[in-house]
Parts: sequence; structure tokens; C-alpha cells
Amino acid sequence: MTTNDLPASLRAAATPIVIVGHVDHGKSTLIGRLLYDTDSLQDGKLAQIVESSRKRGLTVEWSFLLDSLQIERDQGVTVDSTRIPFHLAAVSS
Amino acid sequence: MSLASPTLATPRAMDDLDQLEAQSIFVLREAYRKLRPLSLLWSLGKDSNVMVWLARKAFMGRVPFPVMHVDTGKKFPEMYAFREEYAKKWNLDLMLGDCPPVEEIDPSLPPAARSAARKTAGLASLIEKHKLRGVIAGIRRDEQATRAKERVFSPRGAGHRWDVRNQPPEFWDQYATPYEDGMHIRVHPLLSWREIDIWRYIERENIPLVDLYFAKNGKRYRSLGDQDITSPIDSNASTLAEVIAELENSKTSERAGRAMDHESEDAFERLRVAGYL
Repeated sequence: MTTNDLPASLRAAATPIVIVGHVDHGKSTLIGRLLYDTDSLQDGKLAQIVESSRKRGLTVEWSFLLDSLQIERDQGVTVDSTRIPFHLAAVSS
Repeated sequence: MSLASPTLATPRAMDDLDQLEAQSIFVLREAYRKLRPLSLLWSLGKDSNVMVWLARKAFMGRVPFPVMHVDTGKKFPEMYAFREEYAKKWNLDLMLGDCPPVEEIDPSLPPAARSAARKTAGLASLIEKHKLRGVIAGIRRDEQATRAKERVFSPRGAGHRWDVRNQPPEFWDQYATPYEDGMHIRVHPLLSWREIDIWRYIERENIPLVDLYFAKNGKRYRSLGDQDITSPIDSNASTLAEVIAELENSKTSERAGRAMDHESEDAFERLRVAGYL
């Protein structure tokens, strides 16, 4: 579930996560890998980035899950921001 | 003398749909305030029906600018019937635009993308003919990876090109509306909505839809485009509740049935940079 699915009272309490790092130290790569590890990818998405990485002589470039532009993939650098809905399992105490 | 205290209903807290609705109405009003002439693109699909619905709410029941359908001539008959019926019922100022034949479109595009690019050319003619400064479109970030990079107010330069490397920041609902000759702004009131939000809102508001979205004989359309480049999905969801239940468990892409998205890695980006939605 995303924070949007939560009642307003809980949404206000949702914890933002911020990933900070130097240019080219792997912020997008980490987020891409988190999307994969949390089973947040649509069917076929992983195969698409594996193919896109292979074409560029790479194994799996996890940042391609966010960096969808050709210039980003060709140069291996994020050019513009991306927003992707992120589904989290509900946590019950 | 005593003052009778009025009986007030307990106010309901805003839920997520209320918040999305309020934000979209704010964006529509902001566009109308800042960008004239302005027009709204109505593709006859679920998202743009929601957008027309929101525009009617935003302006006291009547959309105060023209609603455009860029007609490729290849839509489903049900969609044309829907257009005639609801243009009247909703009292829309409907403007139609034609698209050039595919032979006039960039032959280096893959076939389905080339076919879809007819719509870019049809839209460009309308923008130029009416000297539009604002074009409202119902795209969403969760539909497609390059749309995930869009702005709510997205400037288009000369030739209607999307300069994705030079997009303005949008902090705290502050939207840039630069203007030079030949420029226009694409306005995206539904950018933050997800597919399932659209369906839950349609259910809540009882918004009319083309019935191609509901399953017949084990198939339904999840996304509607031109007949020859759009395929239905396997589904038994024949009611709104069943569609919503299906989407809650789905891991397939909404646009899996749209051929133009899957021809090559860069096809959709090339379309969008050249002015596609």
C-alpha cells in the first residue's frame, strides 16, 4: 500500500525516507534495487532493464528502473527527477 | 432568548480521493487563470472523462474553455457514440481536429509509433490554428516511465518539443508559465493519480465510461487507443468493483495492450519529445 491508501491520521505519521549521496555514488541504483527487493516491479520490467543494460555492455543497471531516458542510460547519470508510486506492506503492531 | 445551535453534520476527514480531487481542481483553476487561450484534450478514455468531470466541478458545472478531440479516425465506434452523447449532456464546446495520413509522418519511427504520431501532428495543427497557450492533458506518472518525469505545468518550446533536460522545478505548488512566441504549456492535472485512484474515483462519482473497459467473453480493454494498435486483456471484470479488485492484484502494465509502447526502447520517448502526450 502507498501512503495514499492510509487514513489521513496515519498518513501524516508516515516516515519519509531520504537518500543522500555524492554524484555517481549510487542513489538511483540503491532505489532501483529497493524497488526490486520489495517486489514493487510490474511484470516484464526487470527483463526490460536487463535487455537495456546488455545493449550497453552492462549486466544489470538497477538505476535504469528510474532513469528511463536514453541520455540517462547512455551516460549512466540521472538527468531529471522521476516519481514512482511505491507499495509497502501494511505494518501491524 | 436563546440561540438555537445549528445541527451540523460531523465533518468527514478528507480521504486520499478528496485530496487528489482538490489538487486537480486547483491545477485546472490555476491554468485557466494563467493560460489563455486554453483547451482540454478529451480522448474519450477513462482518464480524460475524469478530467472533464473535474473541470465541470472546478467551474461551477460548465467547462469554460473548448474541449478538443484530436481524431485519428481509427477509434472504436463506441467511442464516437460516447463523444456525441456526452458532448451534449455535458454541454461541452467540442472542437475536433483531423490527423494527417501516416505517409506524412516520420518514416524512421517504428510502425505503431508512426501511426500514433499522427495524433501529434493533428494536435500541433490545432494548437497553431487556435494559438493555444495552454493544453490540458490527462496523462499520469504511473502509466509510463517517461511520463514519470513530467511536470504539472510542462513548457513546450518552438516546434512543441519537450526539453526534458531543462524542466522547471515545481516546489510547494509553484508552477512556472514562461512565454515566448511559439511556446505553449501542457497542463497535467492527473499527473499524481494512479490507475486505481482513477477507477475508485469513477466508482465514487459514478462517472460514465465507454463500456469497452468492461469484460465481455473474457476480454476487456484496460487502455483505449486506435483500434488497430490496441489489444484487449484477458479479464472477467465486468463491473467497476470487479475492475478495482482486478487492479489491486495486477502486476501487469496498464499499457501492455498499446503496441506503440513496446516496439523499441526509445520509441515512446521519441514520440513525447516531438510533442506526443
